[in-house]
This record gives sequence, structure tokens and C-alpha cells, in this order.
Amino acid sequence: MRRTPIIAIMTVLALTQVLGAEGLGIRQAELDNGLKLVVLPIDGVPRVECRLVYNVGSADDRPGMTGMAHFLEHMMMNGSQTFGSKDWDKENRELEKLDIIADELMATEERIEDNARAGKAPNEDLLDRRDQLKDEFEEQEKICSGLVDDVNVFANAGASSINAFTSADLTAYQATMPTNTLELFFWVHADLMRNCAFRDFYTEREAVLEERRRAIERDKRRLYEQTNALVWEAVPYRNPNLGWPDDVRAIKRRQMIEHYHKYYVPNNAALILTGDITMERATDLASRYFGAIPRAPAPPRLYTRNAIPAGEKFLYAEERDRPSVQVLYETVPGHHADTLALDMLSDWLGSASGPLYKKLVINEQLAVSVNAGHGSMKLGGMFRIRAAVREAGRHEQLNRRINEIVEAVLKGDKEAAPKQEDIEAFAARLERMLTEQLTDMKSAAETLVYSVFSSGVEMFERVVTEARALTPDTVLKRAAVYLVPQRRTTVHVTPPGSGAVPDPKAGTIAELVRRLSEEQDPDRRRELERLVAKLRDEK
Amino acid sequence: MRRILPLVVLVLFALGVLPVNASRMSRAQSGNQPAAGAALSSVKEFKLENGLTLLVIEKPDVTDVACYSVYNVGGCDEWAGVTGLSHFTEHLLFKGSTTINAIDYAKEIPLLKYEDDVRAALQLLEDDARFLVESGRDVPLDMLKKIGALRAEAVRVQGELESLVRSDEFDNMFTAAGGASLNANTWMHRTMYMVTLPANKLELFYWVEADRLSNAVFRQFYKERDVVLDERLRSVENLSSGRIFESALASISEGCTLGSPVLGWPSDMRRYTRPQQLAFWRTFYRPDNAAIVLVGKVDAGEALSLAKRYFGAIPRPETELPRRVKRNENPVGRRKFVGHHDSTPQVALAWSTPGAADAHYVPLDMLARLLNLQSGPLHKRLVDTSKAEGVGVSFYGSKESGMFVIVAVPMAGVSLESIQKEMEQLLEEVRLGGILKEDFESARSQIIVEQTAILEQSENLASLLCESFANGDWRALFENNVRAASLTVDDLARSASAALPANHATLLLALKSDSNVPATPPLLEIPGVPEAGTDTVEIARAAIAEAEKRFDADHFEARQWYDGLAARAIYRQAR
Repeated sequence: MRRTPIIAIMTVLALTQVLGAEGLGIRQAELDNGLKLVVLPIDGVPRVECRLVYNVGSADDRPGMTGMAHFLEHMMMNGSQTFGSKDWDKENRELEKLDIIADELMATEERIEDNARAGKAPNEDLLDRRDQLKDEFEEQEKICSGLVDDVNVFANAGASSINAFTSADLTAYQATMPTNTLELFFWVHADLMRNCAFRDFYTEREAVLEERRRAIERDKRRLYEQTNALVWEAVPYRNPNLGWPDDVRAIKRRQMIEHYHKYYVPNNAALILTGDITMERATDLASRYFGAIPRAPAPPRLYTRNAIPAGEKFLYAEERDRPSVQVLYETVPGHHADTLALDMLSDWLGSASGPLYKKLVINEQLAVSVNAGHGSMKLGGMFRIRAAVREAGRHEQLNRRINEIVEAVLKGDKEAAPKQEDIEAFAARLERMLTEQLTDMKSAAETLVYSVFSSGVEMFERVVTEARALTPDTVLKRAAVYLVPQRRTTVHVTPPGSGAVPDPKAGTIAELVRRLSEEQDPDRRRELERLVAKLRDEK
Repeated sequence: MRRILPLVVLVLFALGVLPVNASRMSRAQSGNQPAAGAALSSVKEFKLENGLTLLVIEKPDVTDVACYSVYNVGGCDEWAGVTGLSHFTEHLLFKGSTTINAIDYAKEIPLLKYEDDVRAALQLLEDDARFLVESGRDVPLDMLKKIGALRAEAVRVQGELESLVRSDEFDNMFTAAGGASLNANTWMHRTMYMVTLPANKLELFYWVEADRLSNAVFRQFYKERDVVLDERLRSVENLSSGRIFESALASISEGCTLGSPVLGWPSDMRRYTRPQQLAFWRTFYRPDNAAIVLVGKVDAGEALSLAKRYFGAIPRPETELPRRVKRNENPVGRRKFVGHHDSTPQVALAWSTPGAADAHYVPLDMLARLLNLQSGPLHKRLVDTSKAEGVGVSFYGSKESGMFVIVAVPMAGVSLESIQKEMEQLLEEVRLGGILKEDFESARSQIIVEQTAILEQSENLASLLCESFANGDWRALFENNVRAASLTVDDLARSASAALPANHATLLLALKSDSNVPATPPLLEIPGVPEAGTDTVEIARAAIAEAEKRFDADHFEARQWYDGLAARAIYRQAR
């Protein structure tokens, strides 16, 4: 693409006026290069919550390269060509040399692994070459790290909460800046949008792999990954957010730079600023620092949706975790008009006055606790009910009761269904929550991060009014479209050894003995006898 | 000669995972099969500098030559947004090139570019409108007018382009040359093209294939997009079993992408654009990702010199081929999928396994055959006892990963649970080495007999060589035979324990139900507003100019590609 001439005065394309009748004070603008700006002034301390959001997440990762979005987020924290280097030209040359060694090392290791998988004898030449490359790699890495300067550019600016995260939908970078050093955030991130250095790639890779190992041990991440893979047949939320280790190990630095050039462009990003800031100052700073970055061709956009679901899915997992039953329904993306009805219903279902709690926890004593929620992202949503099982072995019963109660609610059962006053309470709570969220600069920034590329921030202006317009009838009608068995994934978590994962050995001996008693053929009898003996030995 | 419409690969899968017809089940679906009719030494292998593989088997006693080409690209190479593009590419590669099916390519180029612009702008506006409608908001009239104008313009330009296409030239050319069996098909990990020609017409194949690799023109794109959508409708959505197969497949696989349907997900299929297709084709259709396989009356030396003449100048791209997921992580629990259809109930146990490059592949393949024997343990246990109407095992996959599925159709009155239990027990016996020697021997001898027959026929031989090439090494077609001959019952047991552990199985149940699964609803239709009396073209052009800043990289690269093609075509003409 041709670089467009820098236009000093930015044209504010959309929505610079205060939105809506009530006016939450959220203002939006867009630079000529496509960078979105979302500003919410909040009175209080002289600080600004800063977020730079890129519209790219693990859902954009390609198969074979999962973990790319998240790994890239790590690399952005290691400085740019402008800061963090003692001599960028030299460092760059050395980094490229390191890449060449690393690529060959990776290819060699892969060949060694492939041989092992194919059952071939180890190839001594390959093993020698690998060791040699490892030494070269370490040497070169030392040279590279000798050229690194301090990357902690925010250190003396009074900034805090410097952090970043990657979700399926987006990658966000954050900092809390004192008003008088706010400009630094703009300078750093405008620089990083063009000049990320991709240094310490290989050490960072280990950190990324370690992060997933920890997540598996600590947060039962595999359970989460597997559940996602069941729910999201087509939607790439089935990608593991942290990537498959095999893939992460195979990502090349050059490929990551390509990914960065494709997605880290102004027309795929939004700046979110809340707190001690005005729209004028924000637009002034944004156009000064980001205005010169040219618009790029639009990155690939994801529109994949799950096809109409055709069956019910179950996952019976044994984990050292609280025994529970989870019932999930795949719903709609964040911008969809039906999200509100689903939000309302889940909110009410999960509350202490809702039927799940009353019946399962109080009356029937099947569950210790129960909660429900609905969350939507760019490409789809999930309605979730989770109950902690009171007594081992009663998962099935609890599961059945949850489904029965939900069905009864959807049928509009007089006793069980939500009433108009429940909807009013929901709308009031929503309004309170929204007011609280949008008056606290930190949570305001967070809220805006999640909605800017999904439902759009305009949604906040309508949501309370729309919630008030709901009726029990519309809520149930809308929800009934989604809360059907074909959209359901059920997860049972039981303690290890509880039998959720069957041990087929148990019945085998008995069956073999039975067959032995019927078998006439001497050869077959001998085989069967041998088997029974073998099985008994193993037991 | 009419080319048969590409066989929807899903049918194979349907047979494999949840067979409808019991009598067709006993045929194993696996790719690599040991050979007896031809020997490894009869294959002459050549590799061009650009990475193209050429495999030739000379059979002087026949008159025809089976000409096959295979590309390592299929459903498992696709990502969200481009699912089904391998299959769609296969369709479109019969639409010709700058030479084939072309009337006046120079005239076509600006129109192709313009059609891409119209379609890109239309898609962006339709997306915006759909977002608004889904959010419960109104679509501005202005937006609807633009959509109306762009739609009218899309129809107009499509008609204009249609007048520049000489249809069926592809077919006619081969028919005139005495060709037969012109066809192609796409599978999870490879796409294959084939035709059988009289020996003296071999050069025609080379010319066409090289043309396909460098000068393809994706004509009638948007018309053909509706054709594949319709294909999906017929073979998936309108069958009550169609969607369950897809869902079941997606439930089995987690990391590996074998679970992605070869036809594509409908939300992606409706949004294909020609620039996207072009980028996909350029990513995978390259000499170092392909093999040419010739079997029949052909001289290897001549085949090589022709290959050099026609393919030698096609460069090997500097970019590397996308990597495939190599392995699945172990599941933490047992998965179950329950679907409903209007046919007999079925029960299956499925595993995501290592692929053809793994040491367990040959033993698992052998096991699948053994379990498919009419005299084998699975039939004995379930069919001979009248518990099941039919049983079957399928094992297939790519170089990297595979799927092993055991399926049964219970007799009326027999519970799915009891069948499931029988299958689990049988598998456990296998893991413990409980395979009868006689079953093992007859599975092995059956393979040999089967293969001798298969490998005598040129087309079969060529096709199997392609499969083996796509599975990582064409030699495996012969070497796996040797390996199979040396296997023991314990080898099978070891592989079953390692690759088919009880706690990693996914249980698939298809229950009979009269209520059909509803088909995927069409994308929300956005009604365009045609503006009577004003200039549609003007509105459309203004809408394009406005939307252009949101066009993606594929779009801009496609423009450059067309220019390059035009330049090459002019250069060739001048010579």
C-alpha cells in the first residue's frame, strides 16, 4: 500500500458528540489511518487508564501455529528497535544470525523426533549436529543479550499496572499513567506498533511454554481447552489460547514478524483512555504519535460461526478439583440482540431467589452451590450453569435435575418462570453496575476493552432501556431458541479413580471365562485360556 | 467426455464413522496398503530442482497411461475463514487458465478486477448491515441502496464475464485426445487430479498440469460458490445424518484438524472471495508440494524430459509451507457425542491417533483390517451372535494424524450400551494380545490377495502412489507390506495400547428420532434497495471507492497477480 500523506489535523469521523439521551460520556473518534479512539473522562485523581487493544487474538491463530497471538504479546513487552537496544543495527544482525541457528536447530530436533516416532534408530549424525547447534545457539544468544539495554521504559514515569493479556478475540496492552506523563504511553505504543524488536524470542518461548504448564497444573487448563474444543466445532475458539506446545516450539521469529505486520496496524487497533483526560487532548496526542503510521490493508476478518448444532456433547473428566456438573449452551455473539434476554435469564437463574438455588441447594440438597452466567464474544456466546456436587456419585441425578428445572422454566411454568419484577430488578442491577463500572476508571477501561470490537461501545447507551423493555415472555421465547439439547455440552468433574473413565478390564475376565465355557474348538480354547491367565496375572 | 462431479468426501467419512449400509463396511478405508502387484523397484523417482516429485511406472504391455497429480493440501490445512477452500479450489481448477477456457484474456482482466471490487464492497456492506440487524437496529436506507446497486452490478459484470468464457474446453480437449476418467477429488490432507490418456498424448497432460500450477484463472467464481453451497446442502444439511457426522468428527479431534469438514463450514463457504482463493492456491499449489504420477505406457526418460520442459521454469516459492499440527494432547476425560437422525441407531468408539509417519500406523492399519474380517473377532462377537446388523472399522488420516473408528448398528431390541460394552471388552482383549492366531493370519493373507488384484490396474496403482506420497513417503506403499509381514500379535497389542487407550476413546451415539435436525439457517438476508431511475453503476462505484480502504491484503495482492498474468500472457503471445 502507498503511504498516505500525513494529515496533521485529524478528522473526527464518528460519534464525537456525547452519545444517547442519558449520556454516559463515552466518546469515540477515528483517525484517518483507522485507529479508533474511545475516551471516557472521569473526575478524580490525576491519572489516566490507558489501553491499546488490537483486534487479534488466539482465534486468529492458524492451525500448526497456535499460541502465536499470545506469544507475540510477550514479545511486545521486550522493547523496540528504538528503546531497549545498545546498538540496534548490530543487534538486528546478531538476532538474524541467531534465527538461522535456531531454525536449523529446530529442524534438526524435529527430524530426530520424527525418526523416533517412525520407530527408526537414532541417527548419530543428527544427534551430533544438534549438540553442535545447541552450543552455537548458546554462544550467539550471549552475544545478543550483551546488546540489550534496559527495556523498562515506563520505570521512572510513575506508571503502574503495566501489563498485557491475550484473549480469543483480542490482545490488550495496559498502563496506568499519571496525567503529566501520559504522553509516554503514546510514544511507547506508537513506537511498538512499528518497531517491535522481537528480542529474547527464544527465552520468551520457554516462558510461554512454562505458562501453559503452570496453567494446566494450577487452573486445570486442559479441562477448559477440551470443553472449548467440544463447544466450538467451527468457531476457532477451539484453539487453545496459550497454544499447543508443539506449535509454540515451531513458531519462527520471522513468522511472528509477518503476523505482527499483518495485524498490528492502526486500522486494527483501538486506544482506550479513561480518567483525567479530555477528547481534545486524546485526539491531539493520538494524531501526533499515531497519525503518521499509514493505514495497511485490512487484516483477515473472522466470521466463522458454528453450524446448526446437531447433537449433545459430554465430557466426563477426572480431576483433582471440586466435583461439579457444568451445563453449557452455545448461544450468540456479543452484538446480538438476544444477548440481553440470555443475560437476564442467567442472572436470575443463578441468583439465590432463582429456582436452581432453591431447589438444588436448599430443598433437594444435591448441590453445595450453584451459579449461572452468560458471556458472549465476537463470534459466539456461552450460557453456563455450574453446580458443585454435595455427594460423590450423584452427578447424574444433579445433572438431570438441572436440565429439568431449566426446561420447566422455559415452558413458562408459573412457579418457576421469572416475573416482571425479576426483570425490573435485573434492569436496575444492570444500571447500577454500569454506573459503577463507568465511574471507576479502571473498570471502565476494562469494560470498554471488551466491547470495542465486539458489541461496540454504543451498546452501553441502549442496554438499560432495552433491559427495561424485556418481558418474561420475550426472555423465555428468546432463550428457548438456544437452551436446547443440541446446543448443550455437559461436563462432569469427578475425583480421580471415581470411574467416570471406565476400566474395561473389570468385565473382561468374566466375559472370557463365559466364552471359554462355550468354546468347543481346542485351538480357540487354548488361546482363551492363555488370555484369562494373562489377565489374572496383571490384576 | 463429462467430468464426474467431484465425489463429496464426506460420503467416505459417513461410511467410516457411522455407516448406513452394513454390507459396505467391511472395506477398510485406510490409505497405505501393502503392494504385491508391483514392486518398489519398478517405480522410477525423479525430483526437479524446484522440488516437484515425478513417479513413473513403465508398463510396456498396455496402450494408455494413467496421469495423476497430487497436492498436499486438504481439509486439515485449512483455518477459520477458509474451511473448504481446498475442495473449492479443486472445482475451480477446471475453469481454465489464461489459455484454456479463455476467449480474450486481456479483456477479462479488468473485468475480473472490477468483479472482485464489487464483491468485496458488497460483502463489507452486507456484513455491516447484518451486524446492525442482529443487534436489533435499523439499517440506514442509504446502506440498503448501496447494497442494491452493488448486487445489480455484480450480476451485470458476471454476465459480461460469462461471455468471455469458452466452457468445457477442458473436457473437450481431453476427449478429443482420447482421454478417459478425467476427475479429481479432495480429502482431508490431499487433492488429486487424474486422467487416463493414450500414450502418445502424454504431453497434453503435462501442458495442462503445468498451466494449472502457474496460470490458473478462477472463472465463474461466485456462480461456483453457489454450486458448492448446494453440494453441501444436498450432502450434509438435508440429510438427517449429515450434520451428526460433522459434529461427531469435530468432537473426536481437538488439536489436529482432521475434524474440519472437507466441504467447509457454511459460514465460511458463503464468504469465499476470489482474492482469498487465489492466496490459498498460491500457498499450497507449488512444485515442492506436489507429485506427478504416471503409470502405463510411458518411457521414464521421456517423462522426465517433458517434466523439465513444462515444470522446470516454475519457481519454488521462498516462503515455507504452512505447518500442520503434529500431535494431540492427551484428553483429560472421556468424551461422548449423542446425535439424532431418522435412520437406525448406531454406536461407535473413536480415537484420534498418530498418522502415517508414526510407527504405530502399520499395526493399527492391520488391526483395522483384522477387525473388518467377516471371520474376525468383531463380526463373531457382534454379527454372528445377532447382536448387531453390521459392524465396521475405519482407520484413515494424514501423515501427521489419524482416526480410528469402530462402529456397529445394533439389531432391533439390542441396547447401544451392551454393544458399546462388547466393543470395549474386545478392544481390551486386543490390547492384552488376545487376538487369535488364525484371525491374524487370515487378515494378513487377505491383504496380500487384495493388493495383488488392486495393483495390477494402472489407475489404482497411480492413485495409491499418490496416497502414499501424500502420507509422507511413496515407498511406504511397498515397505509397509514388508513391515506388515513381520508383525506379530504382540505388535498389534502394543500399538492398540498406545494409540487406542480405553480412557481416550470418544463414544459416538446416533439415536433414531423422527424430528429432523434443522438445517443451518441461511445467513440473514439483507434486502437491497434498487434505486429506480438513477445510475446504479454510479452508486456502485462510489460505494467501492468508499469501501476500498477496508479491503484486505489478499485483495490488493490479487490485483498485482492479474497484472503479472497479463504480462506473461502478452509475452508468450509475442514469442
